[in-house]
Amino acid sequence: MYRYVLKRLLMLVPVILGVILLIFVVMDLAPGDPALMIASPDATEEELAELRTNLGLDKGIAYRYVAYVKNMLHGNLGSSYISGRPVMDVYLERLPETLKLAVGAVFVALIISIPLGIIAAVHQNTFKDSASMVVALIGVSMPSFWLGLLLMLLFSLKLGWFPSGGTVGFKSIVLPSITMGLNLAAVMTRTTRSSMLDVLHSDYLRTARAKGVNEKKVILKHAFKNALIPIITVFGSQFSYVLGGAVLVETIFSYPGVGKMVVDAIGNRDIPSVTGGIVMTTIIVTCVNLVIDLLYAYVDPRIKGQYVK
Amino acid sequence: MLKRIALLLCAVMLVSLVGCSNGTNGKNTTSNTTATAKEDVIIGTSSEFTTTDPQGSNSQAPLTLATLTHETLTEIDASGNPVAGMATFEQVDQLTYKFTIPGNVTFTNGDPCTTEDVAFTFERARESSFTSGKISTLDHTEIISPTEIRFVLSSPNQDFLTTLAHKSLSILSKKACQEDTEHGFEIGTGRYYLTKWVPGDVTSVTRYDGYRGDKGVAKTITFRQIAETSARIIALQNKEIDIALGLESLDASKIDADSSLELVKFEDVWIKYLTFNVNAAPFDNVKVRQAIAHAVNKNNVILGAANGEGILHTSVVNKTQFGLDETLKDYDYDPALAKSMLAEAGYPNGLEITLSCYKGSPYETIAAVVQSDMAAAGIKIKVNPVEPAALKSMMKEGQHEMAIYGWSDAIGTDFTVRSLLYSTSGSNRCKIADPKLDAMIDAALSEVDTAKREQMYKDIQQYVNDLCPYIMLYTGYIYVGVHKGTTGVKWNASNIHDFCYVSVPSYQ
Repeated sequence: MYRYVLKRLLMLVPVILGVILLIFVVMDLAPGDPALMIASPDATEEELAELRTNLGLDKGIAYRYVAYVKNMLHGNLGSSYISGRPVMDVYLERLPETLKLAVGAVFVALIISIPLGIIAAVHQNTFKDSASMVVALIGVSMPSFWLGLLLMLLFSLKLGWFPSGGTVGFKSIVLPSITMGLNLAAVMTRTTRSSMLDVLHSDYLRTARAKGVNEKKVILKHAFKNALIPIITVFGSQFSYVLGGAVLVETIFSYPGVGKMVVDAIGNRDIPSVTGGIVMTTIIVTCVNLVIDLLYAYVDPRIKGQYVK
Repeated sequence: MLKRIALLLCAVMLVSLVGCSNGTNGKNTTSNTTATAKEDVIIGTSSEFTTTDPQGSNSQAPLTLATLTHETLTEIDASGNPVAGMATFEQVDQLTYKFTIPGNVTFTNGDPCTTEDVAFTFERARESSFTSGKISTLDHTEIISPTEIRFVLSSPNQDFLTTLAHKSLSILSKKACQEDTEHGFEIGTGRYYLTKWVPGDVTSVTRYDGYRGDKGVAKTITFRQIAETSARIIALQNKEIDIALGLESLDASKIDADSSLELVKFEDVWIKYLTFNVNAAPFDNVKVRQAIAHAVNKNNVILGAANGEGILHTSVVNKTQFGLDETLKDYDYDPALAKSMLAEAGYPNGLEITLSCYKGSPYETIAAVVQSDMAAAGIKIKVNPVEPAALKSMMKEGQHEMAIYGWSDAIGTDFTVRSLLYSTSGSNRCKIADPKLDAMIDAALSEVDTAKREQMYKDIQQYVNDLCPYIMLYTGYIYVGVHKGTTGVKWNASNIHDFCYVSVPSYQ
């Protein structure tokens, strides 16, 4: 098992190198000169040239790539062109907020999607099934920025239950989590339903019922456990999505997460912030995927045997 | 069954405990009456505090911060004239100004401010692209004593004292900057000092109780970045913030509808304009440019992009600036005349033009209106909305045909005309390079006689109007939402507001 984990961690190296190369190429090809975004509009050509030299922008892409990788190996992700602050510091400041949002969103998604998915599967082709799918469809169809504003108007302004944004305590995570969670719940509900349907008609469940096991135990202990693998897979991908892609929710709720940091950096052609942000997110997502894979082993002993081989 | 009821009751209890908060959070109260002012004022803004170095930006957020934490040698009074700021001044001759700093000026770290700090500030300013152009006529400084310093210019500059009031030229601590190159510039002589800066999130300042004069009113002032306007208004209504900056005309009704809030509205100096690239055919032909100017319906642009709340603008010189020619004749919207002028210029079948602009409001809206109006004159516009980085590069390299942009600095007429029109200026978006125009601008800067100088600027405006490298469109209004009873803010048409004396009544 440890060899499997080590192998997965070693695979991260070429992934990171590839990601950095891709970012450098894309940012190089994108229109817009970072020097113009940093300097005053009144900067002379000499000042701009000096700035490009100071930032290393006058060097070729290969040189900059190698220099970046060397610095990264020392834990230095460079400094933001705009604020001048070390990218690592900025990222680590924002990461806890994004992690809180990710955990909150996935928690909301799980508490909605699993009961709903199980109910839909157990009561397939009934009103309960249709209602669950309609709820799921509504969840995936609502634009997050619209939903976020509606929740803000109701729960923050009208009822005064939660703050409208910012990062002041636990209450400020609730509305953003619900906004993201409802979107994620739709996908996870459908996955839970189809995964449960696959196992509900299995012979071992018929055997369990024949032996007199009560229906609730049959569903939750026997069926659900065997249906967990695809659910865990979707859970992992949704968690990774939230880690990197919560820009709209972060903007609506003024939530200082890494998603908005990277998007703003792209707009400002702040190459170190873009590269550093994406590299760090890649590392975290890879680790999340590794944890998901290890969870499989915990849930299904047959998979554990394969890892050990 | 009983289990289900129990579970339901637990859920209701849990929601009640988590959700129900005390106080008036979220409720629209009708009264804020109280004798005391809030100690901690929170201001919601969409602008980002990209840097805490006054010399590191010309953007409104960093300069607003500098207004609280730093001071400049001069300030501008309500009539637009330079007056004493941190220092008193005396013009010795055409090239020399003497500044005297009071002996009790201190930085917020307790160090005294002397003329060495002033000299250091301006030497450092030469190295920043945001400030070097502003002090290009400053030849050198001469320290006479710890409280007296002379500024010697290389050529006469009638806007020099006005320029010194720009917040990017705030006085820095030489010692602090040399000891800490990353944060030393944050130390100023202002009424507040910086206590927290999290880019993209919050920036906070705390009152400096050792300030020599009238101290700030609020104990702390926090700027919270709230990018989305609706969220900012909700936060204001929810009393999570006390002031909401950067609202739009469409938001005015939401503020007016809330009896606990007040809308502050005043004219801004942000001129939206269309620019040609005068080096690119067919815009190198002045007749073509004038014809296109006749195809722009500025009233429609104001209606579409500013909800009808805008003020037509003709001149490159901004409102409130010295020498503005208010009699300048605008190009009337006349599509038939535009068509015939284009035909005379060799384009009887009209033109196809790519109009580049920033994505989002109001630029894309302006582009859509212009596109629609120009069609009547046979001009087909292809709107090209791009990111700021791409548009800046495009205009810098002269790759644009026409573009929509804005100008909001009003520190001095020379700075405006020089930036927009001088051949070597980086902000010369139309790429005009006219030696006669350059000479007119240089001559106006050094003219001593005020009446002659005013006429020279009017001549420049007429000359530029005839050349038509820009089509100035409109200026609008600044809308700010505040809680009723908020006082003490010096609102600024360039959005660099002075919050040193802001007072917000405590909420009941």
